[in-house]
Amino acid sequence: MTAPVLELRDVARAYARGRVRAVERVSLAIVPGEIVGLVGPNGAGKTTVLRLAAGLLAPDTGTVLALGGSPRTAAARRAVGYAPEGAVFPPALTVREVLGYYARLHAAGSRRGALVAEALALGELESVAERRAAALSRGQVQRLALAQAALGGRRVLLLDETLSGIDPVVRRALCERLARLARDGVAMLLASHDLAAVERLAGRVAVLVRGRIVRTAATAALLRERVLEIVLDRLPAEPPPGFRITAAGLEYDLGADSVEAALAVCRAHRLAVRASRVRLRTLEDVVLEALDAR
Amino acid sequence: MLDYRCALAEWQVVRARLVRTRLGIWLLVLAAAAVALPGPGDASGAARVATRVGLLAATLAVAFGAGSDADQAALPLALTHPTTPAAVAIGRVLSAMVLADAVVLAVVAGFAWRHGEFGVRLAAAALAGIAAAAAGAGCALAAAWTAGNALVGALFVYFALLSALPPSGLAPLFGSHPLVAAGGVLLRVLPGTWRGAAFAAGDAGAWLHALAWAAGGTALGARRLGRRLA
Repeated sequence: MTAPVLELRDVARAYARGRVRAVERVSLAIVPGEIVGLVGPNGAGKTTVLRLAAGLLAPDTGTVLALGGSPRTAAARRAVGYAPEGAVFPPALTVREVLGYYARLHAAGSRRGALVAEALALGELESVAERRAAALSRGQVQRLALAQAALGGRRVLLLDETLSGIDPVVRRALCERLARLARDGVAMLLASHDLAAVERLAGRVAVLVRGRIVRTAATAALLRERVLEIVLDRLPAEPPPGFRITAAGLEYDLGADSVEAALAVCRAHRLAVRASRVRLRTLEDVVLEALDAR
Repeated sequence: MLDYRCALAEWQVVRARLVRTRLGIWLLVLAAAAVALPGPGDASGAARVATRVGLLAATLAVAFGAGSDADQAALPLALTHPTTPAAVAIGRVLSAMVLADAVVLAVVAGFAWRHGEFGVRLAAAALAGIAAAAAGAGCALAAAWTAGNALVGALFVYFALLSALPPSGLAPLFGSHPLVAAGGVLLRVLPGTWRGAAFAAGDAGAWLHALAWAAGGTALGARRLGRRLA
């Protein structure tokens, strides 16, 4: 079995002198080449988990291990890259200079130029390489954050909303590059509200709600399940057992049940079904279910 | 070796500030004013001017190169790369010192050109300015990373106006009020223009004081930066 490159064991972290518990007993391990999606509502603790993994925060209890050691060692910083949401860069530097500044921390001499060129390409930033960091759009800042995180051949990337606010064409290219990095063995923890991107990239998803991981599963297994959507003439006051009320009617996780059996339940509850269709489950369903369950 | 390279990396940030913000203009104005204003007169006068220029130039360089909100907001991300708070602080202080030293040397060269002489007097003044720049950079960095550029601004005013007065000169002017005594302590503790003559004369105490501020201010700045990794 491959050893994890990043591991959080029963990690807890609170703010405001313990009054605000951001993360509680979070355990997560990521192996090389794996992309784990970290999803959940605002304030669930996703950014705190990433900052703990990056060594920018120390856990109150529990252990964070990057490559088997503390994330604050020089070796870990060489190997773990962090792309924060809303990253701030030295405003007077151009994009190329920002990457050059970070490259200087990783390598000496002629290798620096190659590192900068690689990072510019990864972030699709060649066209704005001479633009000052202060003049970048939000999407460009996110791309620069990604480029600096990956700079120096990092083995673990911690990505916080990195694919948000980016136009679809560049987003697709970035997804492909991230997937390629993963194939080359780079592990990633991707926190995002962009569930479509998580579905597309992540092999495994962890759902974080109020600081706790409430569900972890392979993305494919989560999304393989079928959901029956039912449009009703009139919404019922209470849904039949196992059904959920939606804006247009009801939803039902089919599992091993047949569509006919589910529709028969509706008829038994005197519900007038106008239309129905079967679709595959989305990550949004998973997150909403986790929230409902809490 | 790693820290040395990481410290050098910080020069890039300060250099960009020099050429792309008003820092360069302010340093030029400072140097021009120091050369153009009435001459330094005696030997201690030249040292005093060079000391003041060193302190002010270092403070400006730190304010622009390390103290702005945007620069400070960018610091934690740098710490996710293989560098350390100490390397970042050393790099910023050294960069500010280099700029301030360049201004001091330009001012001393201006004196030499204006008075048609260059001797031991001006060499000593240049050394005094360099010592003051080191102390000023360390002090300003600690102030910037403790309370931001507001405190650095206050420090600039202090260096420009108040620090010329030696502690022994306070009592004859303002009497023996406890506030005057406190002011005397402040003048002794902080770097100041009044030490210029002592720097120029090679006074070991004055030089050790400057060294202590350069090293101590850098260490305090590094500690403040490190505490952001809470």
